[in-house]
Amino acid sequence: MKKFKIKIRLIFWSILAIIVAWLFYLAIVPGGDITYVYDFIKPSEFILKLTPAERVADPENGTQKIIGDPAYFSLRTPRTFDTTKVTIKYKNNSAASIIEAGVLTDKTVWHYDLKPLENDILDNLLKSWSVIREGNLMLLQREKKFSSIADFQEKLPQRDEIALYNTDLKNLELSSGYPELSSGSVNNKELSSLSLRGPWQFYTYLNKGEELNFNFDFADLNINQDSDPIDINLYYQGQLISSRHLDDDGDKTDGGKISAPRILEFKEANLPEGVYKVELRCNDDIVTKDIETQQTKIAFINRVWLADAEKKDLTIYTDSRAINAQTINPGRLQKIYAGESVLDLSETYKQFGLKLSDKITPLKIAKDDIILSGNGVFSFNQGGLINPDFREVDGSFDADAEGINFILARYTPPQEIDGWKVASAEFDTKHAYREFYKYSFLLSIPGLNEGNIEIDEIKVELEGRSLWEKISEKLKFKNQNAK
Amino acid sequence: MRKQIITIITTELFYILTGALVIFCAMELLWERMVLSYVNINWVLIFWLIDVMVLLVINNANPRINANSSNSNDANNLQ
Repeated sequence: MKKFKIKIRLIFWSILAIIVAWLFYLAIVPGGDITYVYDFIKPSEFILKLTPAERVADPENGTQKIIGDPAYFSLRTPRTFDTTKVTIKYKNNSAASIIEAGVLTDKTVWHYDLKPLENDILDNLLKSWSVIREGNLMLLQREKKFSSIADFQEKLPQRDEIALYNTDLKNLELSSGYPELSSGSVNNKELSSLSLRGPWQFYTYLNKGEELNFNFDFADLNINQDSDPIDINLYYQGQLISSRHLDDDGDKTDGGKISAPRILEFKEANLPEGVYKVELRCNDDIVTKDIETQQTKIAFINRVWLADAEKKDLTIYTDSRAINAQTINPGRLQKIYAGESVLDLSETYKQFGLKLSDKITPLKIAKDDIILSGNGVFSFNQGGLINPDFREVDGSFDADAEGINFILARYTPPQEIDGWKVASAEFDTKHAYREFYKYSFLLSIPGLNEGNIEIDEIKVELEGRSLWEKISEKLKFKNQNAK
Repeated sequence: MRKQIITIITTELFYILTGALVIFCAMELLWERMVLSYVNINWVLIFWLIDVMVLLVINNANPRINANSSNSNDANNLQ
């Protein structure tokens, strides 16, 4: 009986040891790569459910429908990984022409690194235009003029003939010959009377020998219960070259006590001539009350939130081909006049969109406290508009109307399998935001007003360092320290 | 004989399930969702409770087996 007892004990404890070892193996992922699949039949412990509830239907017959834009899901991983490949099996039962997936990279400004899943506009052009493919980079030409992508990059055509998608052209910077640079200037009165809420980015231009000179005046609304630090970054040719930091005002409560104005001076001399990007990283508690500058060009990129400062009859100029407006203030519902079109902002917390046809459109805004966004830049003065970005192939893109003859895109069209579309996007998760063991993903479907995107499966393939690579890295680090 | 085998298995099961509960909880504290992603600890706790109840029933129904078993344990320890 004693031998039997020992045998039983050995068997039981061996089973537990194997289970514990297996759990550690799955948590450490010693090989460095692992795949998780969510089939919408039973909940996944790793790929969490699609949210928010009002933009997704309940899972049904192993699929789930996205009915509003954007939708989100979280990916719970036991450890960090360097790259993540997200593969989505779906049906597009809507008129939306673009579907993109993104991973959250910056929680302060809610920045997602977006990658294409489907671009119907490019898919259509691929059928009629000449195409050169090099890996997943492709050059589409209305009429074949270049024999390779290298040839195209070497002999670049006019800026306004080129559109890009999910790639960039670094070697075509704005030069002094660019027509927008020689005309107009910022009206400093307009800038000193603006009041912007939350983060923003703008382009500015420095002439030869000109000093970069900004004085920003900030106030902290203290509406949210977090600290509200302020960071201002200066970029040149995509590289961060200088930054300034302002700590929280000391009030970390949500009492709504507005802080005294705080001025941040940003001066840089001996900078080369060219376009610079200035970025404010902060949360929505921060209001930019005033910007004092000597610069002649200031154009806010993609989004501005006109803060509640009781300002009336504002005019903002934009080169966007599609704009969206939203307000959370019931007292600011209004009609926005965009050239000859009207955007009726008739509900709070709802985004209203409008397509524009002119190169530059003045937006007449009766009352402030609205969020304006678009695929171009916004300026408080027509002379201040400057946009070094190339035209993007987005939902408002029309190659014929805009005279675009060349499109450079990093894009792989989705595959069709058994009536389902299968598309993949690869992300650098080394620099992605991860909180509580989770990465946050977004599915962006601009223009999804009617119809739905039916998702059958989400597959996530993760790749990172193996256990041996990690150990050898640690040993190398120790040896370097010892030396 | 059969009763003794059942008692031994139930007792050993009690030890292993207690150990599993403690180890799993410690692992969860050490590394969040490490266990819960694959194993539902609630089920381990339910099996542990069932096992404890069976063990109590056996002990109450036949205290001699338990007494013999514990005596033999003591004797084994002494040897």
